[in-house]
Amino acid sequence: MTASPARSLRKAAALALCGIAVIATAACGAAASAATFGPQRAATTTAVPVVVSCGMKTQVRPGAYTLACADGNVYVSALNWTAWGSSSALASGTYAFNDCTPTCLSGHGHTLPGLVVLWGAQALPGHAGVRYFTEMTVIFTGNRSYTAGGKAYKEPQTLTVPLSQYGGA
Amino acid sequence: MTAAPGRRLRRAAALALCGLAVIATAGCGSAASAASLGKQQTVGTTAVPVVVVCFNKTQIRPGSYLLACGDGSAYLERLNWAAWGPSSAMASGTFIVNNCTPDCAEGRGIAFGVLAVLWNAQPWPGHAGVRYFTELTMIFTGNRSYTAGGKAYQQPQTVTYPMFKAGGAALLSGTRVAQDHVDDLAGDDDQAGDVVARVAGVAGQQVGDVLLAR
Repeated sequence: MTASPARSLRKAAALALCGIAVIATAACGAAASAATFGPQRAATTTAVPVVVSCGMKTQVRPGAYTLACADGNVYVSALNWTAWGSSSALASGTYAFNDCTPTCLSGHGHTLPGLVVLWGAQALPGHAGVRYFTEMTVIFTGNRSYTAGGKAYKEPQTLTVPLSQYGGA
Repeated sequence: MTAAPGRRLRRAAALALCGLAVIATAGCGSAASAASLGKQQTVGTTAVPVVVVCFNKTQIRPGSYLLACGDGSAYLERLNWAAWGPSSAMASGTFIVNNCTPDCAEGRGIAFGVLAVLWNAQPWPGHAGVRYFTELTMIFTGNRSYTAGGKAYQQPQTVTYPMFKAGGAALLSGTRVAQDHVDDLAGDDDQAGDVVARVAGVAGQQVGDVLLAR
């Protein structure tokens, strides 16, 4: 059941690209999840780094974070932060994605439990004194397997994605 | 902005396969580092999990942690804990590993900046009420390149090691990974890693690499 994480990652990449077609619909549930973004604090100039949301707002300890801004097909949510420091942050939560099988519109959502680590704080261009986390590593702590279109897949043990200064990954 | 996630993600997948990079073997002669393993706190029954250090001692928020109990060839030091909770813990620190070149006795330690994340707390066998962290994930946050024996290598983005109930982590002895082999593997999806993992019964990314290196 080797379930090929490489393939699922390519899929995730495909998800991020499949956006435009879906953007106008609520089918992938993205707009909704963006709207239910849980506890947010607008960060001003602060000692700790922020993350940049898809709406280009800066946040600390967000309850959820969308990685695929174009369509919301990939996001982390139910975030419970146990640390948010000057160089890293740690939360437990879930990693959710649309398998886009056979298409994103008719795909299925999957939710896997994990730890979310933010790191790589850098100056946020255009915002003097503000730093933002430029990397997110998800450590899958439980089930990593799922099926899509009758085929079995398995996520790798960890997933590291760069975060954009414009929000998302 | 989705900034070409495909390529980065494929790279992440390749990296996730990479597992162990440099594992030393017995006779590395750095028992000294084991002895110098910094401040330790002994804990009894507690609400938060412990880590088990070599051999069969427990700690919370250790300043350093020996991964290779047998020879001290791989360890974490300068650990600065940002969190130590009921289900996970995280510290920034330095991962030091012997490059075993030309052999472990004459090798030198190479240091990498990492975040160390402990997770998957389980009951500690034989110690009622005590849980210990059974997984260690290291995220390489800085330079990941190094040379050994004139060849260039690169650590993967992350490595995840199971942690033993007697202390230390599942670094297999007598092995050192040639990263180019791992890259070959990554190129054709990750079949081999998983297959080897099943055979050996340990997490795929480590064992796959180790066996491939032989």
